[in-house]
Amino acid sequence: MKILKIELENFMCYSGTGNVIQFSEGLNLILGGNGYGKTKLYDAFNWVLFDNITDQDGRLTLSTQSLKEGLISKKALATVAEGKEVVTTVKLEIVNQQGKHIILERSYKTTKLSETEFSSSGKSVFGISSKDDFEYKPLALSNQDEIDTFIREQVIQPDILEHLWFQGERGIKRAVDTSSSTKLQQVINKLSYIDTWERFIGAANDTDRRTRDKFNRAVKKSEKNRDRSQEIQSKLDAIQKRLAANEKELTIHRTEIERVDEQMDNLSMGERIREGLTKFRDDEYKLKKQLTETENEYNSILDNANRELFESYWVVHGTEHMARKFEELREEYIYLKHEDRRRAENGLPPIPKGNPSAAHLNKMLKDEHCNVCNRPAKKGSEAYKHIEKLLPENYPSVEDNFDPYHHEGSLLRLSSSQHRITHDSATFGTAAEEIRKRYFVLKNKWKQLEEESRTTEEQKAVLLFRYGLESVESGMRLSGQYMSLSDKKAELSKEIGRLEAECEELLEDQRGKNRDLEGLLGDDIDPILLKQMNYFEGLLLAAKDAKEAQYSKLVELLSGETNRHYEAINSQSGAFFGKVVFKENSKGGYTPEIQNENGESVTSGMSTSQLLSMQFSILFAILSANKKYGFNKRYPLIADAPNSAFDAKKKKHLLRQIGTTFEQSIVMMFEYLENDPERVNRYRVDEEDLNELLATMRNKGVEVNVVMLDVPDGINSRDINELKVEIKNL
Amino acid sequence: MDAKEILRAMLDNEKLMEQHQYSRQEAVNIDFQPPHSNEFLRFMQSAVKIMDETQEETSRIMANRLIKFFEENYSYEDPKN
Repeated sequence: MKILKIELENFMCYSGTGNVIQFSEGLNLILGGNGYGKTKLYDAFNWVLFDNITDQDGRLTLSTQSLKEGLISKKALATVAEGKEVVTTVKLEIVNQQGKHIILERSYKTTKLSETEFSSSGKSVFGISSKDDFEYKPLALSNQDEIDTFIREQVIQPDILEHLWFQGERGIKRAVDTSSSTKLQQVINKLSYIDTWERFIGAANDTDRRTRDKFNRAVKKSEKNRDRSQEIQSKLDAIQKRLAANEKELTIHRTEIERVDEQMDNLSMGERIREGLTKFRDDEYKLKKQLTETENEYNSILDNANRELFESYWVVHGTEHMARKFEELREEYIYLKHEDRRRAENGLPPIPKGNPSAAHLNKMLKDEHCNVCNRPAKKGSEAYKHIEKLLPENYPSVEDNFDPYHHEGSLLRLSSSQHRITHDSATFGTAAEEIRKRYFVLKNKWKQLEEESRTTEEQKAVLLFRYGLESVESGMRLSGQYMSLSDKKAELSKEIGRLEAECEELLEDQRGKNRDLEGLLGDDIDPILLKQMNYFEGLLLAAKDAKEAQYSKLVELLSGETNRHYEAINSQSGAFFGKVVFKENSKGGYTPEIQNENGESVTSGMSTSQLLSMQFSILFAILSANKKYGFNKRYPLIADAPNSAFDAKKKKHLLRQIGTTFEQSIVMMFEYLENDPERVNRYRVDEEDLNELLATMRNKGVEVNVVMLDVPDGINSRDINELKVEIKNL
Repeated sequence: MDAKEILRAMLDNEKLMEQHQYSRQEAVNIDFQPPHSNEFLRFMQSAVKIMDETQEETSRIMANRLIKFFEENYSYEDPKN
């Protein structure tokens, strides 16, 4: 089965129509920030198929009946007029394993009564169309049983989905629980052919028991060698009683060990909660520290920004204007100075602008002639005295050696200083621009950290509430109980081992005594019955041994495949990661553990991310173990934020493993995005990082389709009544 | 899993080889057709076929089919054995 397309209309944050994602074979990456609709998209896949979406534990328990208008876009509900209907529809187009094109469509409508009240039935409408030659035709499926059968046979087996579609780190634990050998065995059995052997063994056991009962009845009827046969028969009865008692005891012990296992599972969940809570506490501390640092930096930038701008930017930008004006005036001054000097030397009238210059006045006094009004001005006359009064005080006398370029040099120096200041102003301008950018980056970071901090708080509260814990510390006390249960489990396992060995001896004894009986009774027992007993005993032995051999072979195969994935995810990290070993346990199952080069278990010392990578590796190995019919070839993997505990390198390697293992995969994730400096509270693709991934995948021959979930500009992404997610194909 | 693989896996058993006098090679080469000359192997050919065909049923129904099959086909002494 391949998913070709999903169309969402007014489904949660995908308001309006035209929300379409086309999927290709290979890896489909859906990139989106927090609150940008990744999980809603994951919900859409589940809702259209099963009329339910997953709860916090990843179980499909939230039904349309319980969600009602919660399924519909808040924006659509807010904008529609009272009394009108709003419809949400999810349409999924697939091609099944037989190559048939199928459209699955589910819709739900509600009527808006007022701003806060809605009326709806709680029942969705579901339809299936199948492509016949050229067009899709609706199928007439009259009841839920027929729909379920169609989905199971033509689309996907629902019980396989929990191993193929999962959300977050909790999802992977549901997909493959490696902490419990029973649960791991169940997954291995379900996803491999081992279940077939279990059924064969069941049938062979039944035939063997029924044949043996028939034989016992025949022995009791026979008169031949009666005393001896009765003696053996009574011994056989004793053996049978002992076997029955042992079986009873074994059943009790097995039930008890399952109960202990369950408790240990819950407690190990508690252990993981403890780890989780410790991580939350550390994260919280780290986030708060980062938040405070960012806040301080932000505030300090805010405090200094205006002063910086005023002192370094605007003032200097003002001087640029002043410098330009100064330069104009200086040039005018030089021109006038030269013109004035030329006129004075040639006895021409001064430039008619204000008082004549000192050069003109001195010339006029020397010539005793006024050049302004072109009249004689004899020394001592009124005109001469008037000219004298116009001379500035201490101005060099006519006789002094006057240099008209003296001021020009100073002006030139002044001008060059102005040029330097103007150049510096440009540098200050760049610095101010940098400060502005940094301010926005910090503002975004601050908001993001606040968001993360809030999410962490919420997750912590949910964890504490779910497991009835008052505090992080009470969660940590669980480890003591875990240890005592672990001891109890070891004792029970030992006792079960002893009883099983004793049963094996008793059965061997029983077989010997039966042979003795056969010899004693000879032809008094129907030879056909003896053959029947012999053949069905052989069938049972063959089924049991073959299952054991096949299971060991499968585990060996899983072990190799698991380590191939495990190494590929971890080898580039630089940290020690060891090897995954499937260790046989007393219950006939296998418990995976991480071992070092000396064969010692180091599982408990491994980080959450390494344990998670082990779970991914085991799951991928189980899904792809059968090279011919592996689930990795039959169905697409859908994972929502599967790798949040991984660092950047591991995330890439996990994606590479997903891409190379599954013929089609859809992965929603936050990675490969960065804050968009041009748009507040928006993201853009980190092209360098993404191109590196694309190149790696291309080298592996894996097609990659990248889709980005965005919120259009002008929409407040935090206002649920406004939120609209836009799908961008990259 | 392929029914032929199941049959071969079930007959790859040293205890049964010794008890019913057949070789490993016979177990490896065995197919559903033609019926084998060794009666036990012939029985196993049919038994595995029955179990494979009734895989979707419960093990009890599978067992009923096996017993019925035995009663219908082996309720007489085979002159060859």
